[in-house]
Amino acid sequence: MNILLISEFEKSYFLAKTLCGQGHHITLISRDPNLCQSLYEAFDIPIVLGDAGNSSILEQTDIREMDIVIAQSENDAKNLVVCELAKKEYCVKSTIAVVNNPANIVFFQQNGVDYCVSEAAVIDSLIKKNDISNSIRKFLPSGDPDIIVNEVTLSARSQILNKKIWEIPFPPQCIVGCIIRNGHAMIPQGTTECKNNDKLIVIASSAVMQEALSLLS
Amino acid sequence: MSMFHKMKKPNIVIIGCGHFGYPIVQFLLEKDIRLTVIDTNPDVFAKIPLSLNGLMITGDGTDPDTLDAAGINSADAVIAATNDDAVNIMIAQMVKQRYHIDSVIARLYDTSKEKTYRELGVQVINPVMLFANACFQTWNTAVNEV
Repeated sequence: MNILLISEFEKSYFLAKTLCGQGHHITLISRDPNLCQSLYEAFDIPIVLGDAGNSSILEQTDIREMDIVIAQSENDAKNLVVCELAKKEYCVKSTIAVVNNPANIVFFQQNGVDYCVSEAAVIDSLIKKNDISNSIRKFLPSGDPDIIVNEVTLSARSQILNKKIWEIPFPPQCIVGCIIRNGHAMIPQGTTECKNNDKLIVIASSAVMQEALSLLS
Repeated sequence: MSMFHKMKKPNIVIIGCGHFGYPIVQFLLEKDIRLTVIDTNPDVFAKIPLSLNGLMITGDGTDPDTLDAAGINSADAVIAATNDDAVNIMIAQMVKQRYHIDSVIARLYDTSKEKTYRELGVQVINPVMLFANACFQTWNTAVNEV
């Protein structure tokens, strides 16, 4: 795939290395001459030194031929504008933006950014997840090896997608204790429908856990 | 019926008080309006007289928390006047979409982006093109007078 990477971060070296290693064609736009030089020397890729927020800089690359634009600068506004221009002016198929302020993720998604990456949001969700599973563990009878708590994320191919909890033939000794949907935890009722990307906290005896997991896959 | 109507003062929020935004703030200070000024650099507020009828907020204008603190919900008009085109565009879109304020003007230097953002409903003003237009009109008038 043709990928346009816009970055001022030194750590972009590793992203470029991974993508080049997978056979993708990378082009870099950066305001940082050191990053330009190191990526050129390492991967011999087309590079434009300049501000990607400026259309004339974008047009120095083959932007109309790009499959993906990755906006990875430290300036949220620039990442948004680059993705908007890529989508609306140059008909790029897919855009990925770093969103430093997680409060703006939904706004970015509404304005032409297909995938938002936010370090703060990822760490926040990990902490929340950790909190939830810690809380669950707290209420389990201590030292009982027979009870297992497992977290399962439902994919688009899951066989229980759009099914209500009561419709799923769980084995005895097994319940879904909690569903985490869009970062919010809820206690499911029998009528709760399972959706794509739901995280199910499954509590079961060790004897039936495997059976329960295969139901959710 | 009362002969006297107390008119509500228009509430204008201006984001960016640098070399472009500050003269606008100065101009608006002389008008009978309520003014809120937002800038990331608190030092810029030292230039603004204490007689300002409004608020000075230190913060990032692309952060909804800063806009909320500035009472953006009650603004009649918003001017995005930072020195960064991308920031001005993002603010204008955010204010329109999230806070439903129609009167939003963004300063833009890059003429190539103007059309795209006008099509998206963002009202942009390009000071360079305004100056070029004024020069052209002055020249045109002088030629016609000869």
